[in-house]
Amino acid sequence: MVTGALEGRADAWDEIVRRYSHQVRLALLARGVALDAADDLVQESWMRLIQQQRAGRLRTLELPGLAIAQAGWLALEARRTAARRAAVARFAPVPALELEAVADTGAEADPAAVALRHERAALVRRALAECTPREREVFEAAYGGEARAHADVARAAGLSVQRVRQLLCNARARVRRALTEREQVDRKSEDDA
Amino acid sequence: VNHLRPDEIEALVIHGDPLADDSRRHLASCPACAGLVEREARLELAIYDGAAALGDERGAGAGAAPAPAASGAARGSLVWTYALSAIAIIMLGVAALLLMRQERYVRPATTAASMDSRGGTRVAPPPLDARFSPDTPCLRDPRTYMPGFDVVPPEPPGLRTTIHALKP
Repeated sequence: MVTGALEGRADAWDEIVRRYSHQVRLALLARGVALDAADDLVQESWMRLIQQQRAGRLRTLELPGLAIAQAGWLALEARRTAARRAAVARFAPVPALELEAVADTGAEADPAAVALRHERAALVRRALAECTPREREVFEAAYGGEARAHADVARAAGLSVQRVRQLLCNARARVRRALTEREQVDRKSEDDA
Repeated sequence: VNHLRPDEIEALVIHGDPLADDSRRHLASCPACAGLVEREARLELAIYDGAAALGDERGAGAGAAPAPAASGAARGSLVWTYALSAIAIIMLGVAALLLMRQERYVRPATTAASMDSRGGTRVAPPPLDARFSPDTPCLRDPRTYMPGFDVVPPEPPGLRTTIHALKP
């Protein structure tokens, strides 16, 4: 799929957009971008990536990381533009925005991010150990590297979409509980400090 | 004020389902609902991240180990490899046996058969007047060294006697 996209095949790009758009939109929503703006930015991100590929400037395609980084950069640009316009309207100096919004691009090099990722992996592993094999299978298919759509997971597993969603809901509830508990512990320790 | 219901937020964040127009408009104007969506999205992203990290760790831990589907194929190919190897070894063994039976190595005679005291081969001694092949340089027939080889056997008495006819 990635190879096909790098070769410029339209069907490969369609599949990539279909598969990873949800994660890109989630990344924007998680940064506080409004839903309508997030949808626009997702589209814009894919268009930019396709343009980069057509211009021959796209050598590798790490997904969904690259699309999320692109969307994050666009969101930052949108905020900058909005801040600039507001400042011009108020005759005030343009505020400098931090580059935290595109932190995904260098996440692999950040030791704290790496540690957090390992910790999350351990929590997910522990939570999945309590799930049934079917729940685990469905969860890994939906949330794994390929991030397959629920309909695709259902087709592959020979289940109905409704059943897949039910299994996914059970597995996700356990994982979510583990992650939330950890988050609360972190928040409490921060408050104590 | 009708805030977004939990199932609407769940449908939006987890399944990526589109929101109804009313809910969409409300979300755009309600900081509380936007905050809830943001929090759920962050959590959902953390789940994606954790699952991806788990997949990466499994991949790194397994090293070059194949995926479950591939390992089944590898097991099958391993059985075939063993079977083919065993067949090849058996065929080589049979071929070697056949060759050994056809071309059994014969030790060249270093002593005359008639002088072999071990009695291994029961060969009649060659007649004294037997003609041997001319000697090959450096490989003279050892039988020519046997004692008495050059001794001329005694002629029977009267062999060369000339009998003159009696004249009447």
